[in-house]
Amino acid sequence: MKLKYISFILAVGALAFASCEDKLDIPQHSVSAIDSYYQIDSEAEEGIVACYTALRTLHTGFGGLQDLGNLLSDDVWTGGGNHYDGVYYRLNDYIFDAAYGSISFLYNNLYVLVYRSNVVVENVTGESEVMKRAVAEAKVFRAYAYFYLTTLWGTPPLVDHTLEESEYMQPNGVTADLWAFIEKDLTEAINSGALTQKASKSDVTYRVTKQFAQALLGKAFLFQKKYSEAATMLDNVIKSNLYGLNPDLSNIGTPLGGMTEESLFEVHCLNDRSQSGANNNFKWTFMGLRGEKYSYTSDSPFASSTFGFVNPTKDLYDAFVSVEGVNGYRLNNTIVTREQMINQYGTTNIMEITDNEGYWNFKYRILRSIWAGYFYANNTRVMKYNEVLLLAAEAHLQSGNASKATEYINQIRARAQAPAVTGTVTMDQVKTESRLELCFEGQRFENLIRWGDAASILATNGQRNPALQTDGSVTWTSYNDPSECGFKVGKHELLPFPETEMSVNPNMVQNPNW
Amino acid sequence: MKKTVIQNKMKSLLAMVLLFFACIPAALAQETFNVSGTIINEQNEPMIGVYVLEKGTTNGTSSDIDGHYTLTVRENATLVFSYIGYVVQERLVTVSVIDVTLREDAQALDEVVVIGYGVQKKSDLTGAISQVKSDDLENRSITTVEDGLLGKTAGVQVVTTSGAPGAQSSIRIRGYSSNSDSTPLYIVDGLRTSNIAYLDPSDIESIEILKDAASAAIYGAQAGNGVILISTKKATEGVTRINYDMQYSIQQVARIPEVLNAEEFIQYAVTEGGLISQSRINQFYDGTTDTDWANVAFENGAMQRHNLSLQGANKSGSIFASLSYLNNDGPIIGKQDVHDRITGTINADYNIKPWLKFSTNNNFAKFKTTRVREGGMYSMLGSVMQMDPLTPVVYSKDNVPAHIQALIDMGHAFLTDENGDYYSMSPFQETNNVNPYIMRDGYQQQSEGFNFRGASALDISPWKTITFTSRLGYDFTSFTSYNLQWPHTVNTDTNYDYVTISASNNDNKYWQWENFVNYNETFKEKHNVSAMIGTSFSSRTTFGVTGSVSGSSSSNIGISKLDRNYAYFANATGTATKQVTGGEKRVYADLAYFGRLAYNYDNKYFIQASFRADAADLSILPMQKRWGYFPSASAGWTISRENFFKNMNLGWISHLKIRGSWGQNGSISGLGDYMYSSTITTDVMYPFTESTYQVGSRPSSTGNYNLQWETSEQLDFGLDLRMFKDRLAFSVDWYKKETKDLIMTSVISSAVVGNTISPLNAGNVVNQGFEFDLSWKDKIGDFAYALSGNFSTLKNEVTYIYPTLSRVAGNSGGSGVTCYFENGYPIWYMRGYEYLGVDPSDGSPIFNDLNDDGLINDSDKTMLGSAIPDITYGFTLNLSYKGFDLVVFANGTYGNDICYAVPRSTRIQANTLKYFYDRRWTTPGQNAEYIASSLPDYANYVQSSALVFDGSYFKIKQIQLGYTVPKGLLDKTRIFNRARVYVSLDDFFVFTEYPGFDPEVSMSGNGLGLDYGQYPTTRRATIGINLSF
Repeated sequence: MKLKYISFILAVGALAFASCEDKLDIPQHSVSAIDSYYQIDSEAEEGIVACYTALRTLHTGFGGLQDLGNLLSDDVWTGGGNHYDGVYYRLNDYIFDAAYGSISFLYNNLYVLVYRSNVVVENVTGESEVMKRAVAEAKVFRAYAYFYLTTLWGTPPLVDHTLEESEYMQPNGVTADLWAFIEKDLTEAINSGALTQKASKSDVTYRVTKQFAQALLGKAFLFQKKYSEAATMLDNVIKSNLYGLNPDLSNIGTPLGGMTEESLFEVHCLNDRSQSGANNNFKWTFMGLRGEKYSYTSDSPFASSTFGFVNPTKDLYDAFVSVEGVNGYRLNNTIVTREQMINQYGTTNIMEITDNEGYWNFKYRILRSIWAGYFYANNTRVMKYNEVLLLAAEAHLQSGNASKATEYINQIRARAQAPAVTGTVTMDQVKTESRLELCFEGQRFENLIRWGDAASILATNGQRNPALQTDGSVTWTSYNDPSECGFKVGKHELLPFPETEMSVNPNMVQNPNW
Repeated sequence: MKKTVIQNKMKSLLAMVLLFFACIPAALAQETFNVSGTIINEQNEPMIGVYVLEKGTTNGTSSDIDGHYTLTVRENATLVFSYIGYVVQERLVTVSVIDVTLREDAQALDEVVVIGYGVQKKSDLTGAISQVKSDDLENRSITTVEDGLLGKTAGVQVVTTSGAPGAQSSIRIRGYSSNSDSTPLYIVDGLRTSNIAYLDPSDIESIEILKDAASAAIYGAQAGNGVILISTKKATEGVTRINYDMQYSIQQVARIPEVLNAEEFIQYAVTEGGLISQSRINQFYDGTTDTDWANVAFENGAMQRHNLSLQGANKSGSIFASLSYLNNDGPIIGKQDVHDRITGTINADYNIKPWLKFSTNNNFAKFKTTRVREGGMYSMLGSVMQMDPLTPVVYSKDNVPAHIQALIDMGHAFLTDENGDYYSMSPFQETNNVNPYIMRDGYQQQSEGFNFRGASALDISPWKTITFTSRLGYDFTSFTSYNLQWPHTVNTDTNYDYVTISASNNDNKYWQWENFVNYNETFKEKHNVSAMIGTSFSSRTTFGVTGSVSGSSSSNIGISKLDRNYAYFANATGTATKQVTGGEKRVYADLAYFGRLAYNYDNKYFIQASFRADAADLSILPMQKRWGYFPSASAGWTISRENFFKNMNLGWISHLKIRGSWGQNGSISGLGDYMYSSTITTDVMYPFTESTYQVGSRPSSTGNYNLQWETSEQLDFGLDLRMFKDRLAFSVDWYKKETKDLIMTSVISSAVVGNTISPLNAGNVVNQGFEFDLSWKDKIGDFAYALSGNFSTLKNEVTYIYPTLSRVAGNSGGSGVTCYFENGYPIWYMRGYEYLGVDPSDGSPIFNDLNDDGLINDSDKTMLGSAIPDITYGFTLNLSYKGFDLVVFANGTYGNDICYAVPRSTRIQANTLKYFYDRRWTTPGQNAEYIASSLPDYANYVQSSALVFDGSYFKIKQIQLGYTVPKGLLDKTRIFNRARVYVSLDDFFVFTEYPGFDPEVSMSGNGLGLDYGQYPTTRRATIGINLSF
């Protein structure tokens, strides 16, 4: 009779025993969890590599950061097979809207860069050199992303950590806070002592450096009109003596002229077609000559199956001429004329070219010797020393040190083999110098906005466009209603937040007049 | 001679049973004497197996085949006569012969209902539980238990996605609760299972459907879509019996929609529509061919079922064993749609000690299914509707038409019939057509498997009021599939010059261990308390490998020889594309604690509460969210037991009860596979030198470590009423069920998130409705009749969706009407252009330009319908007179829509329904219902309400007439205990306005209500025999 009680007690014991919660801890196969990742050097390095690739994305394909800056400026006509080729004319003519693809592409991918930087900053907590460098670099990348988000959109949400679901619907950020965040990130990165520095001018590094961070911080100060801070910060780069102007301008924009002493940071590509995804930048194919519109002799250095976008305006050409004359060394390595195309570069029998005034982009010419069936490994120059000098010159000029400004401008003039500025440099001269040195590099639009010159200079964009005729004459066509195109004050100072973003995030307020 | 042998065997078996009872020690101290007698029923038939017990002792026996019993009892003893379904009688032993007439128990109120980890008297229920008994499943020509539930009880909808042999239907209890799967939880004899296709309907004793949240809450995290408890048959105490049931059905496609014949097709596609040029007709049409593809594709199928069962039970134990065989050859010509199933069941229990009982339920099933392709552009059924009638079935191999010969010369493969004649390819609609035979023979789709499932339990009751149960459930399943695509040319668009083979094998091992204690006690006669507490742990291990091999061209067919005997992996060529996936052991587990407490006072006031805590393994939910807590409470008031009620002179109301319940259940249907987790993806690299790359890594998605159970919360109020001596029974329920935190994947996020968003809990669905069950039964002399009906309403609406998702697209059935999940609409409603009719001037369609911008585009799309019926109903009529019985069972739906999704804009030369043809526009000025034959604006048309129909239907599912041989006659045979023969017409009569195949069959899931070539249900003429020995 006792047995039944014993059985019952055992059974009730079994009831309690069945609680084995640890049996539920079934790990996922073939994966690494975030929580435990980024704890050793190699993993931290993997995290920062993903930031480099995210930054690369911003410059991959036509419609990247620099193309946007070019097309929104007075330096180029859209080009292509015809005016309507692609949808890029909408930028150049100022008839784009919030649904425009390149704008949402850049907006989304700038935040991808922010996210990946946040992942590194949050998860890499070790104290090794590699880990500290990863965190410092991540802060530079984050600042880089916010620099463009802030200058282009004004009030993008400030996201300084990886978001929880409850935080997905961020409201607009405050411009001042965004600038403060950029300054903080860059200052911390610079002061960390962990960023790479070159050993000498001839040294090459593909990583972001302390000097790149300083240049970016200087630029950020300048954009906020904090001129003396800008001057000091940019002088740090100059005084480091690790960078200089490359006296040879002949390959300043081709694969042959990458990673010189002038380069502060380039998006690096290898001439490795087996990894075309990582190395090819399709935007170069867009920027080459419209192949079928020309006949070529064997002297032609140009790849011929390219698409013909981004043709220089005569206005830009004239700006060069005004500084250095038609035979200027820098001009001739930046823009070529119809006559030079035919006589010097073996490009004969030029047919009708839309969006062209008889000038071509020589700086970023696509070298036939390297271009291989839409594959063209050319580094994107993210920041060069000439820009540092130009920014520093402006900062010094605006903070009252005109002589220093003149000195910097004349260093650039000297390298360009252009006449030196006599007396002290003026702001207009700085602006022009900046336009010439940095043309086709996507800087012009933001500078015009910053200087307050956009309204006057860009007002007529899109009202009429040229077409180069076979005899070299230029005819003009109006593709748009003139009242609807061109830069509109109170609207185009900022880009619109993408339409998709506005539809998925009710907390966002659209920029004025979009 | 034979009869005598059987008779002798039966007698010796009975003797053994009696001997067994005699062994039971009885208190023999007092003076004893023998009592004997005969037990009969109200029809004066002797009753076998009636249990006779000396009250207050364990001394008992049961009646023999002639209803006789003999028992030795003490002086002044009382005998208790009991038999399931009959009123218990007690007799004081005053004489030595006591004959008894047992009356059937009309008081079905005290039937016991299975409620999950226990049982409850039906009259004690406070939740909404429906019961379907074996009577409703027996002798129907259904092959699965799911189909048996259709129309039998309110609140249960059966969604048939295919009528193919071996296809499974889905059950929806109280609507559609999830954007993922809404399949209820199945518990078979205590074993949790995801699939009940292995059960033969004849083995089912009862099915309890736990509809309200409070009833289901004891199953917690998996009960959000309702729970179906299935009890398989057990032997009845005192009965030893052999049953044999046989059924043979001839089946054919129930409704074949009429398509155009040759003359009409030429008028439509050539003369009027210009879809096919006259020159083509002149060139290729022989002027006489008029192929009726439905006639070519379908034949009469046959289905046979056999079920043999044995049962025996006594006071100490019972055994039930059965073996069933099903062979179902569907109506498609040939043996390409066949389902074979063998199912065996062994259920036994034994009282090892007075306080210890062992019970076990086991089922073995083996099945094999061959299918044709269905659903989609290239489906056998779709092709029957669309192939033109001008093309013959085959082309003689000696006289191959040029358009075929040209393709043969290019090296393309053509299928032939057994004579070597080529299956035809239409020369008129080259890119549109599919010969149904090519669809049938170009593919071979087979699956087979077996499972062994069951649960064994020990019940320990050291005290009368407490029972501890330890139950081990187990489920071993093996499933293999083999799919072959043979080289064939479908039409000029599509040809396969190579072989593709894919095959997979999957093993599942599942076990669950549940321990629970039940406590029942009555204090002071009126305070009834019951309590239950328990734990459950289960674990599933799966392992599967899928392989495929495929060629790429006629020179690389993928296998070494173009011979079906070589169509296996082993013969794959070196150049074939091969792929293997799986090969990874996966383990799943869950753990639960649960309890229930019930109290009633004098069977008048009832309250009950239950609670379950469930923990999921890491593949389902993150550690910090693994526990889900699911409470419930319910109460009832039996008004008819109140004194004031009795004083009100309402004697004709025998039972009146109101009840209400509230509870929360969970659902994991949308969860799984570590979907919440963010893992490291190393898919990027960057060069930091002039020659090498460094690999980068990033989180694959944002991760959502707040992911949690989908939770459904339900409120239910009900009323049960029985009147006129229980002849009339009525119950009504109202419920509102809100399912929150639905799992949404592919959420489009704000860009600031910076990565792909992991699935979120971001959707709510509300289902609400009324359910009515009404039954009446009576007997007038030999004439007995019963009528029962049920009726349910359902309103389904999505009430929340993540703000960034305006609407989630589901299936589009090709290029046509698409189903969407959107706030404010029924789940997966149909969306497209609103068709206003035909422009009388030119026969083109007119669509509602909702935003009046002069354009018909995406912004003009709107809700066109929903496949969810507003009302579903069913009724069953049972009549019997002497040996004859008649069953009529019908069901229907009202207010649901169905989209005829077969036409698509890329197939304008396809044949069309006569329905459309007869109502088409032909002459200017005509007010026609459908567009002109030239199919103007067809791309928008196929996305419009022109193809959406009222899917309401009424179906007479069964008309069965049976005859039971009178007992007196049977007794003379000395073999049969019962013999019944019947004939039945199943699914024979359908009333609907839907012009397609079958309004009952359409897609489920995210393509709810789209019919694009689904396999229709069949109608069946059946004969059957039921024998008992």
